[in-house]
Amino acid sequence: MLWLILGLSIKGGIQVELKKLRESKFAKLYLAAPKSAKINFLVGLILDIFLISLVIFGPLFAPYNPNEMIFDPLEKPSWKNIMGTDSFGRDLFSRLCIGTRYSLGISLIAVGVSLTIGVLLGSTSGFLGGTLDKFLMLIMDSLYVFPGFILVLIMAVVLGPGIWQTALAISIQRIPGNFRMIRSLTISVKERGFIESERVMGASDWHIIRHHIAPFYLSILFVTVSLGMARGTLSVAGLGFLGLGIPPPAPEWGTELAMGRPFLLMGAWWLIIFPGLFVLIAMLGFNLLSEGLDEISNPALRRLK
Amino acid sequence: MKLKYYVGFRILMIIPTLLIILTLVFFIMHVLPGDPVRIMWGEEIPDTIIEEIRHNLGLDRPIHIQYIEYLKKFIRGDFGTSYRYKVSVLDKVKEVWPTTLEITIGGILLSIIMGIPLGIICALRKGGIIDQVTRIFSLYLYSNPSFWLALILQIYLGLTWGLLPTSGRCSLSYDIPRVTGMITIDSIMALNFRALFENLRYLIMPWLTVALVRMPRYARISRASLLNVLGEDYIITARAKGVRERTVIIKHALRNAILPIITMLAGSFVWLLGGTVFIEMIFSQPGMGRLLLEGLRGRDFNMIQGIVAIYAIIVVGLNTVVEVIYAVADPRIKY
Amino acid sequence: MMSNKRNVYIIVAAVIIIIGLGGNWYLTEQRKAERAEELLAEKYEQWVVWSRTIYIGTIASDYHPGIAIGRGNRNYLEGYLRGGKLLWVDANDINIFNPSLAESWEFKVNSDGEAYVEYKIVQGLKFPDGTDVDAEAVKYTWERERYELATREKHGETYHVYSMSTGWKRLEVPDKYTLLQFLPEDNQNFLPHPFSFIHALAHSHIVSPESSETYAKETNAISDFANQVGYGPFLLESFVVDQQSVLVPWDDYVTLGPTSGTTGPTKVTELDKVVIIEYADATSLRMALERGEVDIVDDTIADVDYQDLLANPDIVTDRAPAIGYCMLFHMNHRPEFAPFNDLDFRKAVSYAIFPEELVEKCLFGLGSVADSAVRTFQPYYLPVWEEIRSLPDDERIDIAKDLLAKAGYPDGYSTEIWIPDNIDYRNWATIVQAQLLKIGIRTTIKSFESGVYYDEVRAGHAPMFFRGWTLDYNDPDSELWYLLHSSSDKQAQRMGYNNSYIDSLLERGKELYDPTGDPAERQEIYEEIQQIMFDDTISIPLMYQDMYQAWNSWVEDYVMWKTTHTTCMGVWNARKVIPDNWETTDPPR
Repeated sequence: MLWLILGLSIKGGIQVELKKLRESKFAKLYLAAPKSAKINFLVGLILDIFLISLVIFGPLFAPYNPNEMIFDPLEKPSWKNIMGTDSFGRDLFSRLCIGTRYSLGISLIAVGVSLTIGVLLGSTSGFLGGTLDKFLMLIMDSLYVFPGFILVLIMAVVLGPGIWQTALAISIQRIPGNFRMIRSLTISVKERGFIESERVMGASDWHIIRHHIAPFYLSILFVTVSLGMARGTLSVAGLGFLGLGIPPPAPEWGTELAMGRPFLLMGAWWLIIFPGLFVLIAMLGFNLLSEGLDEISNPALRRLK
Repeated sequence: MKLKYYVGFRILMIIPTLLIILTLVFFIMHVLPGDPVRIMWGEEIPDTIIEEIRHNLGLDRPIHIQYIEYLKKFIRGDFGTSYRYKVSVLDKVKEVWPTTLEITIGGILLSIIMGIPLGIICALRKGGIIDQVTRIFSLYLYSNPSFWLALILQIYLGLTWGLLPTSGRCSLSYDIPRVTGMITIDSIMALNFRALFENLRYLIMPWLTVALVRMPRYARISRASLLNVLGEDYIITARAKGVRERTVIIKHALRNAILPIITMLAGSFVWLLGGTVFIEMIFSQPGMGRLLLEGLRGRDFNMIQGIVAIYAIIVVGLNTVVEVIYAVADPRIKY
Repeated sequence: MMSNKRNVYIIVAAVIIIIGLGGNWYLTEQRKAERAEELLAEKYEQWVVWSRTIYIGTIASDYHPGIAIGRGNRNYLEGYLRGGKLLWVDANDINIFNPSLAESWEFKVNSDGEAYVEYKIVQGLKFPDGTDVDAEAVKYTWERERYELATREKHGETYHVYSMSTGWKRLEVPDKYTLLQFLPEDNQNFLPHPFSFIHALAHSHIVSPESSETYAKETNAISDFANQVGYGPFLLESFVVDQQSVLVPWDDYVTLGPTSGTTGPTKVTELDKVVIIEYADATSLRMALERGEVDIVDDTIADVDYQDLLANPDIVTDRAPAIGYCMLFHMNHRPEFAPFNDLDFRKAVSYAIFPEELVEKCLFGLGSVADSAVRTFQPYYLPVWEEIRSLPDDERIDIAKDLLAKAGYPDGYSTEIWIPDNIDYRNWATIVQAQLLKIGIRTTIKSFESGVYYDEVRAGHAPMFFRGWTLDYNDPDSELWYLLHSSSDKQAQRMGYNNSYIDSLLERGKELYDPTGDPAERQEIYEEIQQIMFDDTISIPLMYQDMYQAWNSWVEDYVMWKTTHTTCMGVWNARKVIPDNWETTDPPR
């Protein structure tokens, strides 16, 4: 059950020592990376920090209450309302700021859930092998081949509207991918054999985990989380656009986009451009970050860049 | 394992995979709240009548019996009758399937045409201005949500500049006999090129939306794959032998770089099957995505299961084919 | 010598080539001119074809053209073009009923004391499939609508619910062209109220029994409601579900005098085809209208689009005020939903809701505030809510808060608003939610998928919900009966309202109806009912929706009906005008 503890320990939180270890190694990798990778990483990081601060400090950024209908409806962007107002007279910028919480928050929950389940199942399956492994592989393969969004769509309709339901729907789609990844990682580490040699040398389990196994997982972890957030945000917005997902008056980006559509022909371009822009920024942020991290952590790929 | 055993094994594996998907979806459907009969007939019909209809449709039997019936029919190729459209699910799907196929295939083709040459150029002129600009734009394009891109295209190309029709499947002024159901092919077969030109205008924006979002991946993968291959020993050998650069590229490098692109193709196809929902919605194209959405909204069990089954068959089939191609094409792959 | 010869050959060859090219050019020019003429003729032909086809745009709904004439679907559009009814509400005057397939209808009582309506069907008409239009066909149609499936064993069952499809106890056909509709037990006292023949009036388009039975046997469809043939000006030529249906005029259609009202088919149609095209959403529909891809849109275009189209000089619009839905806001009176059964609480809600905002932001002005459940143009209309709504906003909110405190909830209250999964309801709920929040009532909007919503609301589980009602005939009973009478499972039972005094008033009002002139007592009754509705805040009327339609300016002689849901009937009389610049432009389709 070494592998279960492994999974839990990673999920449980990054220990300070691990962090230090990673950072020192990471710092070396980072400095050695080419300029483009550094740019990707930094820009992505900045955008993500901006977004996350929106999530945490949303109400501070938002000039007005997103649900109060105190303005004239369908006003163009102006100094008073920097992104204009929607058809009910609510400030769009405030709504989109608060909307970050929903889009990113749900995505984060989904990533967390899918990662947890993926790690648990994947490491167990990889370690134990045998029929359990084959059985899980079969199920996961079946889910994996599914056209992604369709599964999310069906689950979203089944589970109904709501924050947890949407998160669950999205996470279910990501589980097979995570499972596969962790499983193959587990198997490859298992096969390397140095675990045994370390044991023979008398190293404690913790020591092995810290110095040899964890780094593998961690470099993949961040990229996975980042990519997962990107895809998750897209899914949340997509569901919102279709009218599934979170019920009103939640100002989720996709929902705002859908609600703005009927007013497009009246010239209310801001109702379409700005919500989409937020999604784009979120996607860019996470994609850039994961790209940059990928390049930095895997120097082997550098040959191709 | 010998090749033919491997191929046989992969083909055999299709069955349990399919079974699992179908079972999962079946049970999920029946967990769904919402009574399809009530939705179809509305709220004024008395309960007794609803019960009767439900009985006639077999919806009041215990669930495991319904499941077994469903499987039996599936094996025979009978996907049941749609509650909403009152025709067999297969017929309805056959009707709309070409639309989705047309958008998907056209979009992928366009993204290949745009993306692969770009990727090749980037690989050959690595570090050059094209390469750098492409990389920046790629990331931007690929981060775009497809529905937003579609809306923007619709606004500017369709409305503001009035270049293209904003929605609809095809021009209704031409009566093209339906052979494949795909407007472009049917127009060509009917030798009506005027119609072809008109009808293409309806397809350009959906294709463009797909292409713009998928193109970066193709550019990237072809670039990476080519670079990878270019660094291989046999390329250096060929160059050392004095083979013309062009031959080196075309005959040796590209051939070997193709394989990952094929995987990508299959992956794109699968992704698109799911992703066309937005495009069909925004451009009012009656395709599978919309059918699924309507089916979900109306709790049309048979329709949903039917569409999922079809998708599953396609996807599993495609994956199997790709794996087999890989196994055959690359002797280094261990199986 | 040699070079000279060669030069000659060259010159000769050059001359031949030049002559050849010249001749070719000349011939090409001539061919071009001819071709140009041909093209022009072709183009004109195209425009003519275009002008003889009308494209109607609508938004796709649960609609199968094959069953458009029967019940069980929500799209009225085709039913009216392909079907005929026994009688119609007049196109211009909601108080007039015009005979159509029924020449006359009379209320009688037989020797056993049973009340019935006797219809005389117009003689000698035939359906497009050749079978006779007779009383048997009417009986078949009505019975199938009730039973939805072809189970005939249910004859004779009595329904105690005043539903559209259950307004009769049994049907008899004493001779080929006479139909007797026996009224249910509880309805015996209500002749000659229009309610009695609501069935003939409201929805049922008479179908040919043979066509319905044939199709069912051929296709083994789940519902044998498919491909009915009715008695209407158009026939269904072809259809693709959720995309389009193509209708062609029926040459043998006999316009039955005031059939379909005074703007019904009055001349031979100039059209060859009517194509109904379905769009996925309001935006696509509007774009299609503006680009000329459709000529007429029915009333499914969005309010906001209609208002915007007013500014477009190429689009003609028309609007009928307050004919659409009347929306009310219900709270559940059942004891388990306390404190809704506390009058002060309900009054507080009544003061807090500002329907003006709903009309402005959701209907975009295409409606008006409803100060009573009865409509403004109906007899005995009393604007009972007007007084409190004309108070200044702040005062209303203050009064509401005071009432809430008086009811025992000075710090507010938490509850839910239930809505079906529909964008309009969602918008209304969002605004009402914001309004209630101002006095401290915190609501969560719970949306249900439509089937579940119907079940839950019918079962009386919904705490707060919206409900709309359309107008069937121009009498206050049309709204109030279903709203308040304890037997009504349309609205009263859903909100758990049960008051025997109101019941007796309603029954008396219905009894006293007299088509030649109501007694004064009737006015007292209905005014009292409306007053009680306000005093007891039984339910809160919010707004009346208008009916509206838009079409392109090249469509002429098209008139929108203003009395009921009979959109696009005017298509028969319409025609399209070819624009002056036809030579240089292409038809939109």
